[in-house]
Amino acid sequence: MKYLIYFGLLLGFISSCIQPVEEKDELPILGNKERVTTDMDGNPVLDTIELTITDFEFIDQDSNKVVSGLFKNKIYLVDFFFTHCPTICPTMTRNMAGLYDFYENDPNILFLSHSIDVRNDTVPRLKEYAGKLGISSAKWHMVTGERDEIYRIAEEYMATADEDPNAPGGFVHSGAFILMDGKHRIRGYYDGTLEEDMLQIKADIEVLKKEMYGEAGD
Amino acid sequence: MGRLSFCAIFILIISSISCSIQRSDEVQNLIKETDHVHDETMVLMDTSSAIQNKLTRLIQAAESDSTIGAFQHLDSLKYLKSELVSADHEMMDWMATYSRPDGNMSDDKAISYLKGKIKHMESIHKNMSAGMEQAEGFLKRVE
Repeated sequence: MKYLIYFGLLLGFISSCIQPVEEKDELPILGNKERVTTDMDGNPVLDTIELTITDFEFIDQDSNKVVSGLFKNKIYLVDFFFTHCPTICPTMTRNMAGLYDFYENDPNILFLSHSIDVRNDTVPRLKEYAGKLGISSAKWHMVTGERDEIYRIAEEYMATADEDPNAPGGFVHSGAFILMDGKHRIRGYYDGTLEEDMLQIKADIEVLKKEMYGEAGD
Repeated sequence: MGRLSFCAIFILIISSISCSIQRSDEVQNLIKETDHVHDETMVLMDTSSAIQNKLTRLIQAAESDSTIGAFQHLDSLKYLKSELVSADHEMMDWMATYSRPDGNMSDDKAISYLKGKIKHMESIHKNMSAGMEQAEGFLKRVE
């Protein structure tokens, strides 16, 4: 009986240390909505346009062209990294690889990692890196491209980060994972270096799957 | 005699271990310092990238503008951006060539290697800060 009490106390202590996953009914659509006036049968109508990430074109580890259209109607996770980052990137990559393994057989989930060091992270270098992780470019695109284009798109992804209280600042050293929906809208920011945020991503992806594909999202 | 030589060997082993711990401490501290100076510069990169994006947009606007004023600004904008890009490249190259000293590197070599890396990073930090200050000053004047 005494051991049972000790065990209960231990269990209580452990569970109090673990940050609970926040259960959500729906995910916010992040980004300032733009109000535009459109013409409908000669009458001006006020319309609202949600912020979406603009079109892009990059090259992945298998030299495939990666365009925004590839992610249409898919749920995808985005991050910014570089293969020789000595501090946070190995943790981020390990966490992203964990999510990749979890969703490997789910065709609705994709991954998009942008290298911010386009000079050193060439396609062969990305291929070698991806090879070490044992990932497929059909599911996890590690991309490079024009430096200005990578920086521009990063700014787009991070521009609305301040709307999410959990979002870290800046893209270069933030380690942010960004959850996107099939309409290229930002649905969440997470700290890619934290294990507990990976649990939140999984929970949020389930919410998004229900929203996008209905109950039978899998 | 046997006991005496055993004691001598024991003292020798203990003293050599304590010396190696002392040297390792110095290496460990330098590794921490390297990480610290690196992290400080990485934080700068966030602001630098935002300024670079701003400069890129202004360059594109100036290139499509045929007025003399825009043309005059173009060279300055390109120069300011190139300074920041160059500091970024230097930072990335530093990281691409940096590897934490492992057990195969002697402490003396590790200390010299880390001190060199710290000095180089401090110089990158200085260049990046200077480039950002210059660009921000210019942007304040033209915006």
